[in-house]
Amino acid sequence: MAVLDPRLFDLLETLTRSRLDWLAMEVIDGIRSGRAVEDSPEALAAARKAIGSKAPPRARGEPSASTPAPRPIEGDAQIEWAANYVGERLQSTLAQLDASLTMLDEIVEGRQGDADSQAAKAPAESIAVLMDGDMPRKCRREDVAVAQASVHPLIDELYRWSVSVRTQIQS
Amino acid sequence: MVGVGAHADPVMIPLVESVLDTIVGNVATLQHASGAGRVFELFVMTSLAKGLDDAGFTVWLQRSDGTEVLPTDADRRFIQRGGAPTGVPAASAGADNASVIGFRWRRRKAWEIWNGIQFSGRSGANHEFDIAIVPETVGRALRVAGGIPFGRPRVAIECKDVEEAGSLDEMRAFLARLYDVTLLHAHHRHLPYPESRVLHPGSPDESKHRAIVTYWQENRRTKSAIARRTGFSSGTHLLSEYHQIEAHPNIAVGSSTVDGLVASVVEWARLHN
Repeated sequence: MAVLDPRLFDLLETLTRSRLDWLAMEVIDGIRSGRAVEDSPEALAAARKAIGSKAPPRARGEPSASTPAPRPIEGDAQIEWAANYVGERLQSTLAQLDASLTMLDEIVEGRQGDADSQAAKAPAESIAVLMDGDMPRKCRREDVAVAQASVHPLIDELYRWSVSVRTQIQS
Repeated sequence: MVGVGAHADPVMIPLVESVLDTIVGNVATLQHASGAGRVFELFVMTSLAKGLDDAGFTVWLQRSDGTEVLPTDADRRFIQRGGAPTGVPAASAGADNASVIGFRWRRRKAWEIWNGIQFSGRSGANHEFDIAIVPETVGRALRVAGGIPFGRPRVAIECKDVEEAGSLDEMRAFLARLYDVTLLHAHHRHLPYPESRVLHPGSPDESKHRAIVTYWQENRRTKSAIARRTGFSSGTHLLSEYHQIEAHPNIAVGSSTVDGLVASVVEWARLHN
């Protein structure tokens, strides 16, 4: 298990100040767990195909090789990994939220081909709401669009931070 | 050589923070500790619904009070509950609880897609399933007074929005939950229900909803899957295949992996409608 590089602390503190403490925790967890050796997509696809075949499962009974140890992420690679991870994580989550809101709208308004003709009758749009107790966290597509527009500047700034940290000479 | 105690350009981090604040300020869901995970579940749920819609099923969004969301409605909220998982709320509790997606094939019986609902198992323990598909009659029966379903959802999908590759332990935990909520015919000798069904209350009196003899048979007629944002660690495919839990890695917007998961559930819905 890799030891966390102290040069990451600035980024972790920044994430926490920005109310993204869960993302700071994910960066720590990701680095500590390293890169696992994964099942290949082909092996997983073959398993899904076997499940779909409805054939009776065959007991193998033979012990297989033990799971290989994850490869640690160390040194400069931690900085690079963390910077990439934060940008890509937010980018993918916002893309999922945007796609979800689009699909909710399409389901309510009918098939895509009918959506244009129904648009005039449907001034409202879908709103994703996460109810936290009695506190609703609402999100509209226009909110997601503003956030998505900030992702590329974020990725650029994270890259600049990563380069700066990795090339800094100890004072 | 980079040394401990070195500092980056002090201007950099404030710029990162400023952009992060813009993102989080617009999407408050991201401030919640499990917000990103719930977005992932919403994406899987809506992808399934859209896939069913595209395949010719009638699909609708439904509030927790049982009313359908119509295109002309001003209130188009789709609600996910944060915090601790719960059962199905009573319809009388209003429309501020978790939303549901309904679907049906032509005039056949309807189904409901649930997010984050707890199911009770034979042990008496409750288990949350991130995505569950159940007969609409089960939802309707529970919404009368609210409650926790007892038995196994016909489709159960575990959504994992975590960076670490899916481990054997993760699949074992899902398998254990499925085992506990599976109601076989023999179990009903010890249960208070007069009818031997796979899920209580409200399962229709049809052969596909009657309890069966073996786990293997029950695994065959249900669908169980783990949908992950990342991959599965080496060796998990063996457990997956033997216990018939489909492993769907690298679920992302626009990816073929989403299409594969959706196609699998749509095929199940076609066979079991």
